[in-house]
Amino acid sequence: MEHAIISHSSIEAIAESIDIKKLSVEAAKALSPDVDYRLREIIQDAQKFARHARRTRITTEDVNDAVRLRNFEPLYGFSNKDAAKYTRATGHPDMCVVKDPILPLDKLLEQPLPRPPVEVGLMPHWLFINGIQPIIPENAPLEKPVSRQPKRPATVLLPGGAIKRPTNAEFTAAAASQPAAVSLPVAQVQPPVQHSLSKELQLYFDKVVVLLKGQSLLSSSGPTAAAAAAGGQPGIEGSVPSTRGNLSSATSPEMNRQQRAAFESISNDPGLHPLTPYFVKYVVDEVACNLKNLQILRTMLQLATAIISNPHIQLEHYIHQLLPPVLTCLVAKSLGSNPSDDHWSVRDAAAVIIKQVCVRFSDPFFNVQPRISKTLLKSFLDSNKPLATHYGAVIGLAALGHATVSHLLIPHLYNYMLRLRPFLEGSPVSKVLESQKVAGQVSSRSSTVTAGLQVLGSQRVDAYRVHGAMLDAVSSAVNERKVAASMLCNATQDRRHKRIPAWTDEVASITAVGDSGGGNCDADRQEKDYGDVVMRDVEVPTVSWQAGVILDTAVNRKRGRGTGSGTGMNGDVTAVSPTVEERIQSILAGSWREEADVQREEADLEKIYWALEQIFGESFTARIPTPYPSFLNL
Amino acid sequence: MNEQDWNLIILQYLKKKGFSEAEQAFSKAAGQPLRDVMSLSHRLETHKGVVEHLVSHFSADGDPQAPVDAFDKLVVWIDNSLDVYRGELSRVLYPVFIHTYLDLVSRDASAAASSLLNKYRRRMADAAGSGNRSRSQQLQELQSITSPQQMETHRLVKQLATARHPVRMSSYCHDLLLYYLHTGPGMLPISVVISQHISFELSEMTPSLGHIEDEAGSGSDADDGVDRDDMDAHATNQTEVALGLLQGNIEDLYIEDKHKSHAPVASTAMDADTAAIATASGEDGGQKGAAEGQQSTAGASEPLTKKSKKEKEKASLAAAAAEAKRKERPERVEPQHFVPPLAEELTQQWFRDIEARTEVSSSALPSCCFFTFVNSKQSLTCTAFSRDAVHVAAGFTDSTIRLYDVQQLSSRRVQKQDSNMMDVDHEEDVENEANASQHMSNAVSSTSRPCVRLHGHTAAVYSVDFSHDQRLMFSGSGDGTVRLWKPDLGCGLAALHGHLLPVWDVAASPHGWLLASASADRTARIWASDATKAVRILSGHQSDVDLVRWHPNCHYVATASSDHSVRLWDVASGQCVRLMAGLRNRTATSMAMSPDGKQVACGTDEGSIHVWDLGSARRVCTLQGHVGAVWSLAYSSGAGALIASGGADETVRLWGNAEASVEGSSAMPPTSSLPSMPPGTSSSPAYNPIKAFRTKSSAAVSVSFTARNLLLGAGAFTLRSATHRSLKSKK
Repeated sequence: MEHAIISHSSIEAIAESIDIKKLSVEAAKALSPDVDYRLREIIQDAQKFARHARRTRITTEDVNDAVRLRNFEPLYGFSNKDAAKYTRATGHPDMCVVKDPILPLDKLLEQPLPRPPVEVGLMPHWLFINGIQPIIPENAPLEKPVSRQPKRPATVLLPGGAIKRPTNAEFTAAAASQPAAVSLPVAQVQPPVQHSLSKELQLYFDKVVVLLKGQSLLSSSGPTAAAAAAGGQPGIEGSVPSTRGNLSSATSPEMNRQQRAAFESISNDPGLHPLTPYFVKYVVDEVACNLKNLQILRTMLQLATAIISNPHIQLEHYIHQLLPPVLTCLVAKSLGSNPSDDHWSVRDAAAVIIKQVCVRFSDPFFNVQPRISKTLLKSFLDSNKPLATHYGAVIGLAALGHATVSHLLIPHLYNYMLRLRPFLEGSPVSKVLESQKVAGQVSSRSSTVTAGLQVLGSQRVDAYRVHGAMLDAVSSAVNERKVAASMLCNATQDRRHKRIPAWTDEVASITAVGDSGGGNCDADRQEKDYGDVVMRDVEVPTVSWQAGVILDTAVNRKRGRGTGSGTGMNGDVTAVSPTVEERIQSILAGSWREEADVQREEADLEKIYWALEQIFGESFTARIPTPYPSFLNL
Repeated sequence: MNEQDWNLIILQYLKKKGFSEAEQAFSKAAGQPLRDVMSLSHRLETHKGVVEHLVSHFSADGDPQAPVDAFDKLVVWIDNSLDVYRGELSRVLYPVFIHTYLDLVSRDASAAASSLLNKYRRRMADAAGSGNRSRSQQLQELQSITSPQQMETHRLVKQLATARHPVRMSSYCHDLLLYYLHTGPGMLPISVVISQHISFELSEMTPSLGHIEDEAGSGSDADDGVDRDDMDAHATNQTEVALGLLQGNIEDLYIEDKHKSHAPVASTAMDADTAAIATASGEDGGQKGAAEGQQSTAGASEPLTKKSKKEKEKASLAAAAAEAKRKERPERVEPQHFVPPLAEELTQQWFRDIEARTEVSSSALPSCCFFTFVNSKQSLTCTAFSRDAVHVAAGFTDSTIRLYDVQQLSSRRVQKQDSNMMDVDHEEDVENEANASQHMSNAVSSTSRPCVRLHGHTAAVYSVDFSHDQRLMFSGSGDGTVRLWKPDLGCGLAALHGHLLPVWDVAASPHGWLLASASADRTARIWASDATKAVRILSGHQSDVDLVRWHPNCHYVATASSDHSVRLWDVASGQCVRLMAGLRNRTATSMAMSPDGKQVACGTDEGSIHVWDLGSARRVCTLQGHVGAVWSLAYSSGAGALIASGGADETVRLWGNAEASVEGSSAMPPTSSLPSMPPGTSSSPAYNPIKAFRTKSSAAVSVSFTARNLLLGAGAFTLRSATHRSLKSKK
């Protein structure tokens, strides 16, 4: 019996495990075919039990049934509805054992009783009706459809909501029309087809529209009234809390709940595909008509988010319609009836949607992201556009990822900051300090900040917004790039100290220039450090980063003296000597180049860091991730 | 022959094989000096050979009964071997049988030889499968050889003596066989035969795979286009069967009933549409006339609703079909045993069902209502629907049966949909509700909850079924009992003991009070609901009987077994009348009989569906599509144009009958109705896949068509690990 699975050595091992010390090899050899055969019998019977229980896998209960069938005592204590958990035995890589931990009895007894199992439920539903499967949650496959087949034009125009009996003729007709539809524009080939929608879907749509409209009417009546009141007396702090109060109180909790449920349903329900064109059209129309009503815009963006996040809706054919209103919300010249309204949050929400779209549709439409970023960049570079538009463009680009930012935003950063500077300037010290805080927390949008912003002139506010957004985008992009680079060179961590970047000399020279420009500094501790470092730098140019930091502080200090107030005026780069200026510009212009070589990439990054610090100052330093500055102390 | 001679023979053998160490050891142990042996062996060289020497020894003074007994033992051993290996092992039976027979004849023990032949002849012929002509001829010739003198000259004997019979086998089976032959007592004659006449071709493949290849290669399968003479060789399948529907079955009664209403004098009690048909057919009797007549009446009378118009059209079509059927009466059989008459209200209800039936075909697909069990935790084993789809019964591994009331289960909303979809008009809906309310008043425990739990079995319930009038429910369980339940009262009525091992399947007969059960004890039993003892025991399968289904005329039951065969049994005589062994080493997991009684379809555990023609016992077609076991199968009511199947791959698939669908769409032209097809012709229509519908992660444990051709399916929602993972990742 050399083909038996259980060998005589296994028999010996088993015998040993049940304390039969002396089992002769002959006995084991005689036993092994018999054990093997009996095992096969048990397995066969267990298979039968599993098959008749309509299962494809054998459970321990099946084995016990099989053992019982042969009038043996079953094995108690192994019945488990879940699959057994195997762990690898220590020392034997090929051997697995079932986890069987020893549980103290007293602890078991102390434990509360386990919850009773849930009662079996029965759910009737339609699997298919006249051969057509309705798209309802009960039928939806748990896996997402793998194949992204282009849909037949017939189904696009005639979504399956209508219950219609498909005949063979129809199928062949659809198949025949397909090549024609591909070669010619669809609109010419297709006769005007009535878009039939099932009654249920129609009801659903109406209900959602009423709900959204009711919501936005109800809540917008508050804010618009408040906004009108605020419009009469702009800049008065009192109006702001009232607006906010209206926003939160006017939406009744019931409405809120229903709306949330509606969005939840739209983002999950598998049967809503036929409604997609209607929803998209609705969003387009509402956004076009209600640019002044922020509440409606917010609702519409929520709706767009819900549609996009529904995995069952195939949005590929509608995305070109859905994108323009979203982009409008992002970069519109003015949103809301009053400039003091919080249209920033609308733009932020739109940016999030842009990101979602790019993530989801980059596969079928490879050019969706380039096109969006091109649009955004255009509005960013257009100096005629208001700052709010620039803000939208910046957050939009930032949402598209760090590559976009370093390719498109950073090269233009320097010139843009020059343009932005006039708007930022000429403010009292306290306001500037405030604005710095804003720039740091622009994403959090706490109420105090908003309140503070209301006091400032709207242009300045806008400028600070843009500045903050820019800072956010750039710093996160650069940091991300840094993380990627450091992951690449993780292995070469220790080599960092030995490395002498090629550009250190240049920085040193620049530092020297900066030093000479601002030689007469205040006598403080930093001064001393600075002097030391410069000395070291000139002699042994090893730690290039320090040079950048020192330079930054030097520049700041110098600039602080130049303006005569404060020390950290952001974005003020005029005082930097022309050499530094050019240097910054060239570094930033070349920032899009990502080096394949780790060392050069790091060197590039360090240059960029340095340049950015020149532009943003301390608020940028604060955003350098913690692991990075750690080797400042080296 | 003395002791020394034996030693000599063994030594000779060892020498011949080159086992020098063993030879020396043996000669030492035997105490014989080596050279003596050498001299003796020299003396024996003149003999033909050692093995033949042994054989001559056995033939000289062996008991003629010994080979017969040994063969009996071998047969029993093979029958009791594991299902997977039985097929392979039984391949040695036939050559062993022939040579044992010839051996007996050559030893002039013709009495033992003929007893052997008589005992196994039928089995040997059957095992060959239909179409193996040479084997049956050989058996015929063997019978004629009765004396050693004949053997000298017989062509067949010479042929068999010279050639070794090749048997393909997996290594493990070979091991098993040799182990048995070596250790089994009194198996020496068989081992001699095997070592002399059989050459094994060992393969490393698993038995099942090897078997399929073998079958395909040998071409002994039924679907290889063998002509009809060959088929006659199949002993069992020669038996006459009357596969026609029962006389006075409900479909015929319905047609007759309709015909009565055709009488020129339309009674006033008739409702509008029947009258319309009556007048129409009174005018010119044709279908076209009927349609015209209907239109004219519709125009004359007050504007009818769309629904009733549709109804009317259907009725007229049915009437036309009835006309056609009357002209060419398909065969009908007299009931063999007592068939209780249907209750009047039941007949009326069934008539209504037939009237409301939507003909389904590959161009007119049915609707499917699926019942998903949730939180069942792999414990759901089987479900059954009552004929009117009011009850759903489900058996569980925790030995309970849960009985659900569909109308209470589904909310009013669903019920409304239901009535729309089922093409029942309003009047009937009301009536259904009336029935339901009546039922509810009857029910003691089911009033409050839509689910009644029935306790009684002591092991997992493997099958449930409703009687034809829904007044009884049957269940079979792992504890070996069949139980009768009263669904209305929610209580058990009787336990039928008899099966020794788990009952895998129960089926209530389509007429009357009979019940069939299939069990792991290799029998199927027929029970009458008025007795606690089985009225028939159908034995013959060589392994578990997994499935049992009634023929529509109640005279036959079909069983499918783990021995990879499907049999048809005559209920009256208890004899096997058809044997279809073409499951290709796959186990049947589902079975269905066509409503016309001509076909049986069988789903297997690897996803294929085999359809056989019962009259000729030939395979009509094999449907491939499912991945994994086919848990359930159902023919559509009426013409049986569709097969629905539910599988472990979580799909419900529809298979269409090409010809029947043509019939269905063209309103059944009178010339080509399915039942009129002559039996035995191979023009039975092939089925082709229409569509597959995915369920939500629930394998369809059962599917069935209602009398109105609504497809009902049921399955348990099971989260598999893979889907679970994908779900998690999605979140």
